[in-house]
Amino acid sequence: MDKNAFIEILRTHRDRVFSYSVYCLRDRDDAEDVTQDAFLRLWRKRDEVDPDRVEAWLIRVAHNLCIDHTRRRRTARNYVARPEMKLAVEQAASAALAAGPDHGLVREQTRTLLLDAMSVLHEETRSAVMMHYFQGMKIEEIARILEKKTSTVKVQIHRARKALRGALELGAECGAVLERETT
Amino acid sequence: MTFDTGCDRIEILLTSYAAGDLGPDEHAEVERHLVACQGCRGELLRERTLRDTLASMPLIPCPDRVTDAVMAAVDADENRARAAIRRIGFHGRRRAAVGMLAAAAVLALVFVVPSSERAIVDPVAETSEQTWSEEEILTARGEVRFTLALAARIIEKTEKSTISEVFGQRLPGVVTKSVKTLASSLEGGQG
Repeated sequence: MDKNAFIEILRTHRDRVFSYSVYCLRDRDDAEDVTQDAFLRLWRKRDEVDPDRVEAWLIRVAHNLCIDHTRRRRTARNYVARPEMKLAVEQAASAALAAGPDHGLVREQTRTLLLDAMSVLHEETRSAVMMHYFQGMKIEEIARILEKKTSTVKVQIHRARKALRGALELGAECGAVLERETT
Repeated sequence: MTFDTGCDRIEILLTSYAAGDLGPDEHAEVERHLVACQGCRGELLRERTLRDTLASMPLIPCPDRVTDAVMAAVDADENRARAAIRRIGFHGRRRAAVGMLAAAAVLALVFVVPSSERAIVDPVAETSEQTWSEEEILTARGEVRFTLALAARIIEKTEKSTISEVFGQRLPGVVTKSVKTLASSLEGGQG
């Protein structure tokens, strides 16, 4: 991979790597560090990375860097405890309902409460969820990145969905209420 | 919702079912189950909410400062690499020059030094008759080393590229003597 090819990859994938990092970390500054670091690692390993799998490679590196950041941050900050998180989720859902029949706003609120709820997931589970639903990656690809069995990743995502049940039900309820109001 | 092993299995399959990644047999199995199980239909609704919500999350534009920082680091990497290559090249050329000079010094002993002088000071003949003090050997070694280093510097700094261009047709007399001293001391097992 020469410098021009690297610049092209940087232009093509920077938004996706940055977005993935922002949604995983919920912190733009940390996401900037992760994105910068991931691309710099790509440059330094450019002769070892398969050009056809460069996005998966970048996401794997970003995933590992996000985990490192999360662990460092966990020692520096106090995370919201689960009961408080539940209250925040309910408040977000109420705000969405009070805002009226605006599907865009409901989706935005559902997204916010989902991401908040996801912060209590194990790092690897959260990454698997983000890779599958946000990145659109196949379970088999995620299993390769996380060095797990396909069946393990399926179970991780299933458990994540269970853990996010409260937020998902509120989101679905908001959507259902709006459906009723607009029809 | 009641759970049994059937529901557990179907719930795990729901992710791939919603993604359209199931084979025909498992797809049919999930559909049959969903018709009969309200709990799994609720789970499918949650799966779709999760999928729709996260899949529709917008891409966030990466700030230019990140790209700039990456490219600055890449350029710095390249500059370091170029500097390293220059250093390796310099040391490599210097080693090569010293090697060439050493070889040239030996060759000079044979070809450049006039045969009349060789006849007068024959190291092989002297080997059997003359031994060298440690001080003489060290002095000779130092003089050869100094001369070769001097020649290397001259080659490095000027257009000259061979030892004969540096010293003309013959080595300085003192060096010739030192080379001979070292050669004979080595022959005699003293070096």
